[in-house]
Amino acid sequence: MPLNRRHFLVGAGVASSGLLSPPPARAADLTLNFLFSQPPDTWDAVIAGFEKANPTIKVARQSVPFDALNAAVQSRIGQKDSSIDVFGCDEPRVPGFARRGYLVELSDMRPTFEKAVSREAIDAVSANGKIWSFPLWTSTQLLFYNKDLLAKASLPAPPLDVQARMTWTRVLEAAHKAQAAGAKWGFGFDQVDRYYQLQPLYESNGAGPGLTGPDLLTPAVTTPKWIETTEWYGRLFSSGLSPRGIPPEQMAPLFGSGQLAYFYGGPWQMGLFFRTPDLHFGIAAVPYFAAGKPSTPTDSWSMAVNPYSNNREAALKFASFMTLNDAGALMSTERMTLPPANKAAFEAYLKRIAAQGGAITQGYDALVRYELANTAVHRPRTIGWVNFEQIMNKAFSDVRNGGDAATTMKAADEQLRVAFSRL
Amino acid sequence: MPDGVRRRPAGLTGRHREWLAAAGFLAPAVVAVLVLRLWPTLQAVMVAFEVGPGSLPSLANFRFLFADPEFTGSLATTALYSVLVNPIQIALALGLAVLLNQALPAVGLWRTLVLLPVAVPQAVSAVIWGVAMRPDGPLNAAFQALGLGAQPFLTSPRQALASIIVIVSWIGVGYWMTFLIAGLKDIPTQYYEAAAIDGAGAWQRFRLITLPLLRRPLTFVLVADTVANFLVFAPVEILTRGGPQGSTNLVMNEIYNRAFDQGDTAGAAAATTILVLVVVAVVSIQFRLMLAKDDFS
Repeated sequence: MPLNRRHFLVGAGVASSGLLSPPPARAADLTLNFLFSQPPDTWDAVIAGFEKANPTIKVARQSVPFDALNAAVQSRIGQKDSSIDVFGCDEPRVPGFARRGYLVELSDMRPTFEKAVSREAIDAVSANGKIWSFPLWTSTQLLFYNKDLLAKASLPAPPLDVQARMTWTRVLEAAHKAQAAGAKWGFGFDQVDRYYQLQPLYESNGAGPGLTGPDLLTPAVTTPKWIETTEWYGRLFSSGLSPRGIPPEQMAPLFGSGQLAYFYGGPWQMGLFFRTPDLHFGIAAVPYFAAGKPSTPTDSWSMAVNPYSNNREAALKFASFMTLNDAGALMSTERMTLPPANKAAFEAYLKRIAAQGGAITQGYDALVRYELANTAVHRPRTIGWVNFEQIMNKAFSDVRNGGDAATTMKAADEQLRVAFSRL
Repeated sequence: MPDGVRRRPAGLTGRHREWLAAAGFLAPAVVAVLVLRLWPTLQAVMVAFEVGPGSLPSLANFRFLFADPEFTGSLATTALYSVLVNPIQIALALGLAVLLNQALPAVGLWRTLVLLPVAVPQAVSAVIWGVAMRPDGPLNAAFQALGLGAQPFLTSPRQALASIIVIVSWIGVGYWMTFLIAGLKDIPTQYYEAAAIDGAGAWQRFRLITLPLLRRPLTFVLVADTVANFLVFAPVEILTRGGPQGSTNLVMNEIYNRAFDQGDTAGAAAATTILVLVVVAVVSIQFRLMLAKDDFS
């Protein structure tokens, strides 16, 4: 490997020293730098709407992969870099980021927040009783299925009705049948190896979130229930039902190209699947373990303002437009079809999805309302979340690749204890 | 300017001018090295000895690291990786250099093809190899067609490090080969002619003429390749993130995780300091061994 390749620390050094920062813009044509991990076209509508309403402000996009966003925030805002104004902040990261001083406190806007979004949405962006970020979306989960692959195996469509939802045992039986009838893969997780989507497995099986204690800083990932659920996850891959070696970003295209019979994914994928020609898909309520209760992931992205930004006022205006402004919040869901946290936009979003999906999304409205009110589980709100997420995602990946569940969880437990001791 | 300087002979003033010009040309590079390399390194070393804001210098971060199995594991993985990757890359680069130094048809084309992977950004190479090595990827399709059976590659703790070695070697070998070809071109042909007249075979000519006369470029390649391999990061971050089961957790990846995933800046700075010390030690030993008996100087 050649020497002339830049060392990443040098890159971080350059960025932190501000050498790559754009020169300060004139007040008349201020440019906001917006850092996020979604495809850049996610923001086409909302940026156009914001720039139209604020002709003197332009928004420049900086997109990084999901796995790199945390590092980008730590390395840039951690070094007091002013070249980011607004950035996407996954809601469980709020307590940790607030503690490290990466977020602007927004508590003085509480009345505006309370008018626009729900109590739960405010809780999701709060730490120590203070508001730190603008809640953008909320989330639930769907079981997508490929109608053609199910028809080939003479399998009935799984129900969208939450009262009739299938158990995991029945879904996996059906997935094996679909695979035997020609589907390349029977079942797959959209965000494979990520705690966000796997937490409900543990919750549904009665294993808990994996953290205990008053500050949620005591690992509990080696309990018999945790090991049992992790073994279940590992068997999806060792049995050949789900693919190994495919990163989360390539899972939705696998379903989109007709290689996957059942797909456990977020509503954000509907937009993509609506746009995919020749894909005949349906949506259903996600399964649960028969011995436990239904459980679904929730919370989503929020918009945070960099405390070191030189354009704080404009940055607050943009983040606020995307979330607390009814019209702006709806625009932010145009391509990324997630329910907005904004109450008025939420209703408009459900109407739009019903019109867009036709027969496919009939019943989606009731499903989303039911899941958010009854089965949604929040990720642990703790200052140790960032460490917990990174360590657990790697542990899940090891199990997926054939690592023994008990050994892997024991190693993760040790890593968590070491990481928490450094907080 | 003092009087004495003004009365100096014209020659010295000219020399001053040369010095000034040289300093002018060198200044941007020197400033860049100071600001971009030395200053961050110095900062990292200072942070490595801190335990809290305003605390006295302490070895606590180093003690913590050596008690953490993640870090010691990454040192062991890096040692294994270095022992394997450097000899493999240098042997391949040398073999290719000798081969492509022959009067082969279309030799320029072959050299270009071998060098080409260097021009592809590392991240792009990593993504391409990642797709090729997927369990259902084209490489396994080829293996199965040849009756070799599908391989897990990056998903197996037994094959992942070897897969990373293949990928970084694909990128690096052509680059190091170019230096060795340049070295080969510098060896006067009369040595080979004389040896041929004396009845030396190809192996004897390689061992007794090529290798000793190639010592200087080989030393450079050995040292630079070793350093580059200690700093390998992009393929690991993109393809395995140190897994499966820590089998590819090279020390650079460990430092990155510590700094930017875990937010443990002091631990990462201490790990960086240890890495710099290890690299300096290894490189010093290599220089001593390679240049100890410089019989052609």
